[in-house]
Amino acid sequence: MDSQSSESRKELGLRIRRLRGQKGLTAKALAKMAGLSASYLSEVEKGISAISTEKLQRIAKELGLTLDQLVSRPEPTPQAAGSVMQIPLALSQAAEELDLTFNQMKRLFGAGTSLIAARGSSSPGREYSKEEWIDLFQRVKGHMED
Amino acid sequence: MSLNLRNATDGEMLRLQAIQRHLKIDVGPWDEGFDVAVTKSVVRRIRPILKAEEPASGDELIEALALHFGVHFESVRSDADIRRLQRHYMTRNELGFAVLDRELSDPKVDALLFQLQNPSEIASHVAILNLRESSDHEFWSKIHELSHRLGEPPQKTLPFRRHPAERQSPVEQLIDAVSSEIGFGVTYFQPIVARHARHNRNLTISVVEAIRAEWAPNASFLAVANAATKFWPRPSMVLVAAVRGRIKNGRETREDEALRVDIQGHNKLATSIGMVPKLNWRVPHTSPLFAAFHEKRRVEALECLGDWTSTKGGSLPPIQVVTSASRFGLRAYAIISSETAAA
Repeated sequence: MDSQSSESRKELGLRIRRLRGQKGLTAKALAKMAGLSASYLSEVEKGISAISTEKLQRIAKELGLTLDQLVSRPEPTPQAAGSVMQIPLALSQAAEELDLTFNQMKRLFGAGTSLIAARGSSSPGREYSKEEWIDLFQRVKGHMED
Repeated sequence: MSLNLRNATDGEMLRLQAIQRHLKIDVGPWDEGFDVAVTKSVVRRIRPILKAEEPASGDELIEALALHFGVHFESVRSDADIRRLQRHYMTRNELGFAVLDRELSDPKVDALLFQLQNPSEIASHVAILNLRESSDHEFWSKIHELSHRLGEPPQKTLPFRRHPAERQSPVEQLIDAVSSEIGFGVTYFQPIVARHARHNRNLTISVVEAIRAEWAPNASFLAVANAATKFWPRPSMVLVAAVRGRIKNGRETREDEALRVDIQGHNKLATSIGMVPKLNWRVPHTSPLFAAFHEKRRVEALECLGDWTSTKGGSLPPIQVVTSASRFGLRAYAIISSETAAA
């Protein structure tokens, strides 16, 4: 796996570190179990060093996984996977007024719902009003295709 | 403790129920002990990770959890930072950041949490820390935003996803309880306090500073002082004093202005021996807290708490304590601890 790009090495290292964490194994313990040096495993986890398939297999085995499970990307989040949307009424009204396509409305909805918490705000929790959806559209329309 | 659900919105209730389902706990948001059950569940969830990562400090703990749960932190220290972050994320198709300037125009907003529309393996969430006015809350804000990620499922119900939370929001109240345990709780923070207590008879400002330096240099002094007081194995309290007038009919007046107790926190051992002054009590002239405020210097000395009295006839028990006090701006802090364990 010497051809791993820096980014994919980093992602793979992070995946190993997360899976090791889920098992409650220190880096030293996993390295010992897999017959690797602790410093090498640390470099792999940080994405500094590449790792061979054979060594990856040893790590996967100690983590109770197949090689495929170890190297596969996790399932996308429901948002990224495009789960069923319930469009708020205020957004539908804004979309009608702005004459948005369905894709534009979907992207606007995604933008408006990506902020999930604000700490310290004095305003009570509330939904976007139609005017706020319109304001949001004005802010993002330059970045929207379609 | 149970959550205050009296003014909870439908959105908040849905969110609390989603947390219950996500963490698979038996008690519901309306039940006594829901916050405890949620906190325990989150602590159970992170235990193997922290066992594996072996963090030696609060900052390392944050780093480990952020890495495992895909939370990336960004700090805002100026308006230029807001513009930079907006540009950075919007060019990556994270259009939600278009509202960053609007959301941060409220100076009371300490932090924001965005769920990325295009998550990578490295980060699925970005927490924006508003440090323009002060960085005192940096540690707490990081722990708080991480706790959202640890306790809540990915947001996918719609009408309530954008949810600026007020301080009394039950969701925020719940997340604060979780944060409190992770950041300053029994599992990770108390052992550090216990170690310092073995080497020091009294909790003093210097001891709190040492604990803070070891655990979380970015946490506020008062947050560390309160948490350390809670776990100190001898009667202890933290006082903040400021010049204030009498309170009449529940309102502060300018009458009889003096150095008075503004905020106070204490541990259960202090309560058990009556070592608990009421808010707005005058600080006696004999107290090192009085000297620290007026002489603008750090003072550490013995005092007899019997000198602390109220005009209504209340008084503290006449026990000897060590008071460590220092002035910060218009206020003075004191950490007061008894040398002996409560009976």
